[in-house]
Amino acid sequence: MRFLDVLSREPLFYDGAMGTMLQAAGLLPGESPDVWSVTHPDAVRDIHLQYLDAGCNIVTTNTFGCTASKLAGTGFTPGEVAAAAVARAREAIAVCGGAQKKFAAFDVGPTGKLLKPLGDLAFEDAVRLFTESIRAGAQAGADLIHIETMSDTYELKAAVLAAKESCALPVCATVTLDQNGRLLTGGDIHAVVALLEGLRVDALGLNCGLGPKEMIKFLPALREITSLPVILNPNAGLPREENGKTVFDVGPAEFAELMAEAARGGARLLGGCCGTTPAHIKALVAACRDIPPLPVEKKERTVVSSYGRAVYFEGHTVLVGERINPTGRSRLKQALREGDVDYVLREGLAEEEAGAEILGVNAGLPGIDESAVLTRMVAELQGVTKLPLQIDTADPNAFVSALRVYNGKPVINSVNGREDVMRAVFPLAAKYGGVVIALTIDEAGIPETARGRLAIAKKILARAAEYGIEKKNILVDALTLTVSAGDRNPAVTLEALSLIKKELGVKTTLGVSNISFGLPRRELMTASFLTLALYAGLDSAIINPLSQPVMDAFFTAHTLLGRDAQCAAYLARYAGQAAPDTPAASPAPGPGNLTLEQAIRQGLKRQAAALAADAKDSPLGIIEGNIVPALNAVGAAFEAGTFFLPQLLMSADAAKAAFEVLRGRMTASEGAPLGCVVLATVEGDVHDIGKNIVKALLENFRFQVVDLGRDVPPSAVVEAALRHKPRLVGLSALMTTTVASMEKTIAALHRDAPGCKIMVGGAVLTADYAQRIGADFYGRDAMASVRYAQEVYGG
Amino acid sequence: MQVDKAEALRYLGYKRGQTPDSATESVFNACIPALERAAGFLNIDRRFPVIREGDGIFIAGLNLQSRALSRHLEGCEEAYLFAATLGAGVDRLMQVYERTDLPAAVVLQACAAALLESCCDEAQDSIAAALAPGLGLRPRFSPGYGDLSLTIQPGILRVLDAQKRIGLFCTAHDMLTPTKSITAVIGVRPGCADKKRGCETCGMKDCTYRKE
Repeated sequence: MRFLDVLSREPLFYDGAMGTMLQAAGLLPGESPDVWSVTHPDAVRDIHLQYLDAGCNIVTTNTFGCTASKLAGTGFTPGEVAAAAVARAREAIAVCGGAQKKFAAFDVGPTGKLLKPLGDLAFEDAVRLFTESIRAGAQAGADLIHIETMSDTYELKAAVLAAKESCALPVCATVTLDQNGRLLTGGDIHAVVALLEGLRVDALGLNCGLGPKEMIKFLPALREITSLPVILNPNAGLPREENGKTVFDVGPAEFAELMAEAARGGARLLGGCCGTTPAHIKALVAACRDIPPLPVEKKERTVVSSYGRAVYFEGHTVLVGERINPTGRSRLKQALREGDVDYVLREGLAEEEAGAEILGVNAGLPGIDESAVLTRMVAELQGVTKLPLQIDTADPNAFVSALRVYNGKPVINSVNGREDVMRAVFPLAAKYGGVVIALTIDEAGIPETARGRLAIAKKILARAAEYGIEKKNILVDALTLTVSAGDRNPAVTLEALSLIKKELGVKTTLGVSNISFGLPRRELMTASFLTLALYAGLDSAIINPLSQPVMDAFFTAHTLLGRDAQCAAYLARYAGQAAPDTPAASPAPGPGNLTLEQAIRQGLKRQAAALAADAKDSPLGIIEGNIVPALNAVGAAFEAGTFFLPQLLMSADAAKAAFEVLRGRMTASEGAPLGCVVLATVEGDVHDIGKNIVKALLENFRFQVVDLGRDVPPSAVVEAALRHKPRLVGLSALMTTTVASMEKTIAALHRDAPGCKIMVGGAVLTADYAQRIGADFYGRDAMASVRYAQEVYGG
Repeated sequence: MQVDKAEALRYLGYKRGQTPDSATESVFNACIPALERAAGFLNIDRRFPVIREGDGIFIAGLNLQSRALSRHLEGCEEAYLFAATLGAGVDRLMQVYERTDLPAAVVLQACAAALLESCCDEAQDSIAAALAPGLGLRPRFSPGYGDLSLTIQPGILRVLDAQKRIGLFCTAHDMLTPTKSITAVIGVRPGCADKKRGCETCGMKDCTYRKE
């Protein structure tokens, strides 16, 4: 009987803890439990048999730590261990006399490493680690894949993808929550469910971390949001130390009683984790076997997620930030060309602060590697914002790359009615999960009537269904054409929107700003159209959250549409604000009586920029006469111990703001940097704030900095040195263990890119050690590096 | 769970008696609430006998080769292995600041270090309070102090099952992630609890941050 067929009809019982049973059988502390499937086959088979005799349906193989990273040093490969483990489970199943349906689940535990950017394991390397063992387990005859004890959505995604890419077996996945319902890296059950359902697992739930009483608290919420059967595998209570051993206090009878409550509450697959024994499982099965299973209900909610948060498209119109899109944005174009990721991040964070719930991300610019840039932007943005992303490209390769690394369930922008596009995009949406924006355009172009656009929407929904993509995972975009090119354009869009909502029952979105293309005072037109679109039932609005008129329209319309009880949100936002054109309302930050030097010394960014703008001298004159002396004074005060690091950096920020203003007035040669410095935090090191401080100061003192980031291998430093030909390379390392990487990097530079000086810095270093490993200079603090750079470039 | 501002200032190089200017003060006032919201302190500890074999010290089967540790644990028959973290939320906040506001990042760094230390002090106080009468705790001694190598960190995490219990991991180079975390050996011996001033036990006399 196939696992999925049984699952759709009956409750199923998992086994209990393996680790403690192995310890009872003689496993020593520090010994790998997984290896016992090879070295102590009888013991492992016997444990499986005990659980089967207790009545469980699913035995999980002894492969919790079966990845190359965890098996390193044992002398066994994941392939060997996986095959042996599945064999032991199959043998036990063959011998067991019980009449219940029996399945061998290939068990997948965490890799033991935190994924980048928080840790040092790259996402694709995690996928590779999981793939190696899952493939072997599937080939050895497992009935399903069971992913468990995940505390990070990114690692969870890597494991599920690996399972889906290695075999066609059913996939179950459980995560570990703390008592507040959060994963250790910050996710909640909404984010977990959205991710897992997007990846199309067959059942999901919780294991470990909590006892039955604590875990059951989350069952109602889980049942409410998921369309899948729910798995609960709690510990036998909360752990306690007694005489140097970890003990669990919930005995079999109490365990079974609590789990019966879970079964009555709709949990479909029940078992136990740490501290549970065959006695626990026996009691569990006896108590729950005859409880009629509650139906698993399909939910129709439209949802996307990031690592830590889910956004549901209901009850309000979702605000999607449009700013990270180079079309018409020359500063962003420049940033994308220069690889200035920090600029993109600042834009995204500004949109988040202004109220965006989802961030659009688009890197469509000729002359750059769109796939690489888009992927990098997605990877970096998701490290700093909690908001889900709307991934926007017309290039299927860029989609694959970006969707793969995205930590959550994204909005996929977009598909349209063209056959070739649907055939390219739908399989990706099916594989990686996401809510797909469907544009009502096809091979014949954009229909001029609302009915025409409705027809395309229908076509797209029908094709999507062939890929298993349901209506709830589609947002139809009825296309906003500028009113400047057609008087009827707005009306057609709005009619189409209403028609599509009414006749197809699907959610809608619009790129609202397009309405005003080609017109003066675009914001006004956009704001008005937004109001009309909201009235017509728009579910998701792609707009500029930093535009006052547009945001005013957004919030007032919400209140007018009855989505703002007692005008609470409106009042929270606008109460106490004077109208914009009364004089008292917006005092511009004037320069006052400050000089530019003073503004820099006091770290006053806005004043420094204003003073630089007003200054009469030539830009070079201002730089040489005002800014550089101010920075030198600040630097000297820092070195003397009267100025501290935050002040130094605030002064640097102020000077930078002044430079930005002057830059526009300088010729290319006037603005030329004094020299180039390549900076990197060496391989294996994840601390980079010191390097970032040096970078900020060097840029202030007119050096061009090529920042290679952190955890940089020696070869990459050499490559950068050969490409940029700097006279100076700066390396930082924080810990004793990565100083070795520093030594290797210096050696590589001496060998392959001689001719540049090398300076090093980092808390663990000393001048003495720096000299021993071949560095030319040891920067003991931030200013020292600047002084040395000035010396190297003969300043 | 509150940030000890004086400690944070010390990490920023302020000597006793020196106070921050108003601009720096504002940065603190913004950072501290953000940090307190983002932080989720978790710790775990287990008590083991201390086994001495010649020059070596063995705790929970781990070979903690270190003369400095050996001296530090003189008179201790047992010791706690201790691990703690402020959690991934703080690392994320650090990333945001580093990308957008470097002065705030530097202040946040100092506040986080101070917060971690005070949370660990509190946790250590709880352990001390539960000891049998007549026993006290030595100051924390962490990998990286003296000649106690960082390479024992993975072992400590494994013994404490820190990954699963508090979400604390090690990189390939034995660095803790999330980054605002520590592991430590805390000796147990007869007598009162020692004042928790780690600097006294440290050999780096010329450290800029040495507590006076």
